[in-house]
This record gives sequence, structure tokens and C-alpha cells, in this order.
Amino acid sequence: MKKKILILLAVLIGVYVVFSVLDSGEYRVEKKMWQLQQKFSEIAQDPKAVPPRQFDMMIARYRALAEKHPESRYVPQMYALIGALYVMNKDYESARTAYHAVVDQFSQSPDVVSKALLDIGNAYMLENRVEDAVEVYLRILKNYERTETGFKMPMLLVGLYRNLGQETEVRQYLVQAERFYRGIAVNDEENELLRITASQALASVYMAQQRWEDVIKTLKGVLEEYGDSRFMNPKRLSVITRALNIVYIGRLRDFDRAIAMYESFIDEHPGHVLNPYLTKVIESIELLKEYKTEAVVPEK
Amino acid sequence: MSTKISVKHSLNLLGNSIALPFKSPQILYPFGILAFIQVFLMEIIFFATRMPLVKIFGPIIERLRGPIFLHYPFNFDLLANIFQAFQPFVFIFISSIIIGKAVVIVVQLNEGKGVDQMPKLGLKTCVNLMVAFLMIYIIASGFVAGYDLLIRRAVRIRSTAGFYFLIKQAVLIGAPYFNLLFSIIITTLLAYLVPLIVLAKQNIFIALWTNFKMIGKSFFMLLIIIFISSLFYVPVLLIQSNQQWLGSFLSIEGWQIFKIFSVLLLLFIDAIQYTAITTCYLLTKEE
Repeated sequence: MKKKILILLAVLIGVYVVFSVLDSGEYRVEKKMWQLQQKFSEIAQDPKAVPPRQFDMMIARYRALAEKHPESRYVPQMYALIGALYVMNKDYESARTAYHAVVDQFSQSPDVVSKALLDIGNAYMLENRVEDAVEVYLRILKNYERTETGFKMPMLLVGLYRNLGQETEVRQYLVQAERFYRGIAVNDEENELLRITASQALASVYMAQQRWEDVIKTLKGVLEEYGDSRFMNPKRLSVITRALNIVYIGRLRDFDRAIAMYESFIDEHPGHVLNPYLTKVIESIELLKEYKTEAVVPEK
Repeated sequence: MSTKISVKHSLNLLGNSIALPFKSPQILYPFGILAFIQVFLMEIIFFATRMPLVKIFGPIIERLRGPIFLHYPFNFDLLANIFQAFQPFVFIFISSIIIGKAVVIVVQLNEGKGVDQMPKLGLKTCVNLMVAFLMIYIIASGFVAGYDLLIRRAVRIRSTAGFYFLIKQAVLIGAPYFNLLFSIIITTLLAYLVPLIVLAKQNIFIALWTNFKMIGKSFFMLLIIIFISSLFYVPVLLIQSNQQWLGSFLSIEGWQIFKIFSVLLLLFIDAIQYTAITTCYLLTKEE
């Protein structure tokens, strides 16, 4: 029996060793990243209190990890964190160099490159170099418009100029954004997810232009056209109904139209998976309407 | 045997039961197999999120728990949850048989016989043991569910000081210790079930009836033995209830090693308890 127990012990050790050796995945990188991430979070809590040597040490560790595992899918994240450490240390030039490393190394991956470019642009913004930042943002818009980052770029530019109080540029980019999003939203050859997202982005452009009826028309269209889509998940539906409610109730003060729109969707799509949610939305609006009416009566 | 003598004897019996695994390690063999099964299970779950096993288990885990659990350090949460989910099956189908065999080994050692290989149990005995352990599991789950209700009620207490606050704290912080206490009471009340099924070859219903008839004669003796031996597990509970604080000193892997240690400790406690229970059973039966 002693022998059997020893065999079982050997099996346990053997299984551990064999599976550890066979593991060709990213587990070790993930583990190291997690450990570094813990230290990164400590630094990020109060970067001013961190001595420069500690920044250098962390950056060296990330660099060593990236060099040790050059094929890892976490390499862009490593460089992004190196850049973030430089930014925290207010060394923006070095931060951009780190982000550029991602741009050069992953030039075949538009998603990764566009994110790194966005970081470069943001680093310029932190230095108040608006023109340089805009140049990078425009580069993303021009070359990577179909990536997640590129898709947000027109509205990011609108926000940027709005913060700067440059209304001419705001209008210019709103027009450009409208053209861009509408082009995708109405193009049947584009994939469904992109068209839904473009329609939502188009609604936010109209919202920024205070074109309330266009917001309603666009989002109502999304509900009607993509109500059965697998991409119409609860989160997206919640975003759409919230935007519609802001317009109907917050801006137009028209509770009845909001209720009528949701009711018409439920009537036209009996048994639809979204109906219970929309019913709750209707109930909330009715409650709000009742509350508002009661609040208004004494004033009369 | 009077209760007084039993209490006196209980400490001696406990001492002998603790010493027996060191004198005759054969008693630990069945628990060694159980330890192997538990650690092997942990290993498989641990490697299920890594290459190459992730190709088989990855899609299942992703669908059931979400993709994040395939990555470090959330794979350890998955490990803990799945390991816990397997425990009822291990307890009912494996621990029952292993403990049955351990009881036979204790008898063989008491009779001075050598133990060269694991004793064999008949199919009928195995089925009765499984039913007995299922019953123990249901009773224990009932206690835990009852305590959960108590916790829910305690959470609703709003006092931040005074008597009700103390009750709330006792219920919330004391949860693992109360669960240990329930486990001690259940093990004591049903102590002779396994020896009766394995040694007296009784079926579960007769064994249950005989158990209650016999238990009265040595209840306190058993309670003391099981209570004191269970106290070995209290440091583990203390560490577990301070997991958040200790987490800052201990790495995730270190914590996992601690969990393996706690499983092995639990098995060692089982070995001591069933050695003592079997000896107690033999003494009570002789009477």
C-alpha cells in the first residue's frame, strides 16, 4: 500500500509537471502582468508621491516582460502601461515613444494601432499641444475610421473643440460626423453591428445639434429595424431608450408621444423579447407623468 | 460504562487515536487515496483554464461562468467554486467508501492483524454507506440553510451598538464556527452509522436505529473526542475568515497551497475521528 501511495504522489507531481510544460498559452504572461498591475495601481493612486526611480523600475519591468514574450497579445497593453507610467511622471515625450513602439510593432493590427495613436494624441492634449493632438486624431479618422477608436473620433473632435469654445470647428466636425455615421448607417453592405452602432452615433450627433426630431426618427428606426437583432442586447436597449426619454421628456416634455412610441413597438412586435422591458419603461414614464402633473397642479 | 468513566477515557482514547496514524500509518492509506482524488481534482480544474486542456474545457467554462474566468487570477475563483461544487459528490460517492474501508483497517489493527492491502467492501455495504452519507449531507445542508436564514435576519438588524448589535456580529462572524459546531453534533449523533454498516453488516435503516440505541451509552465520550479533534480545524477557519487582510501578505498561489493544506488537515481529522469512533464502537459493543 505504501508503494501505491507513492505512485499516486508521483502521478500528482507528474500531472502538474506535464501540464505546466505543455502550457503554451499566455498564463505566465497574465500572471506577471497581474503582479505588475498591482504595483501599477499603487503608483497610480498617488503618482506625485512616487520617486522617479520607482517609475523607471516599473517601466524596465514592463519592457523586460515585453521583450521576453514578444509574441504575446498583451504586448500592446504593456507598452500602453509603459506610456501611462511616463504620462504619470509627466514625461510626455517618452510616453509617446512608447506608444509609437506599438504603432510600429503592430502596424498590421488597425485596432491596436488606432488605440496607440489615441494615446499619443491624448499625451499631446495633456501638454496642451492641441494642434499636434488634432493632427493625430485626424490621422486616426483618416486611416482607421472603421476601428472602435476611429469610430468615436468625429465626436471626440466635436467634444474637444466644444471644450475650447471654437463653435465653427464644432459645427464643421458635426457635419463631418453626420456624413460619416449616416454613410455607414444606411449602407446595406456594412455589417449589422456597425450599422446599429453608426445609427446610435448619428443620433448623438443630432443630439449635439439639438435636432430632437431627427434623434427620435433615428433611434425609433433602430428599434424598428434591429429590434430582432442579436445585437439588440439589454445594455444597448437601455442606452437607446434612455436617449429617447431624454429627448421626449427632458427636451420636448411630451410624455404621451414617448408612451405612444413604445406602445406602438409592442403592438407591432407581439411576444418580442424587448416587450417586458419596454412595458416597464412605459410604466416609469406614466409614473413620472403623474408625478409631474401633480406637481404642476398647485401652480395653476 | 458510566458517563464519568467515559469522559475520563475519552481523552486517553483521543490521544491514542492521534498517535495511531504515526504508529500504524496503514490507517492513513484510505485517506491518502481520498487526498489524491481531491488534489487531482484541484489540479485538473486548475489546468482546465490553461493550454492544452482549455481547448476542451474553455468553451464550457466560458458559457457557464464567463470568459474572464479563463484568465489569471480569476481562474482561482473558478477553481474554488468548481472544487466546492464537486464536494457533495466526493463526499457521498467516494468519502463514504473510503471511510468504510478505514473503519475496517482500524479493526484489523486493533486485532493485531497486518494490513497489506485495502479491505474490500461488498456492493450492498457500499450502497448503504452512500445512502448514509447522503443522509448526513442532507442533514448538514439543512443546518446550513437554517443558519443562512438566521444570517439574512441578522443582516436586517440596524443597531450599531448594544445587545442586538452583538447578536448580529455573533451570527455573522460566527458563521463558520457555528457550521463546525453543527458538523460536530451531526458526526457525534450519527457516529456509529459507518461501523454498524461496515462491521455489523446492517442496512442503513437498522443501522440508524441501532446507532441511536448505542449512542446514548457513549455520547459525551464521543462528543468530547470529536469536539477536541475538530478544534484542530479552528486555525484554518480563523485564517479563512481573515482572508482579505491576509491576502495582502499571501500570494494567490500561496493561498491555494493553504487550501490544499486545509483539505489534507480535514482528512487527517477524519482519520483521527473515525479511529476513535471505531474504537469507541468496539468498546460499546463489547459492553
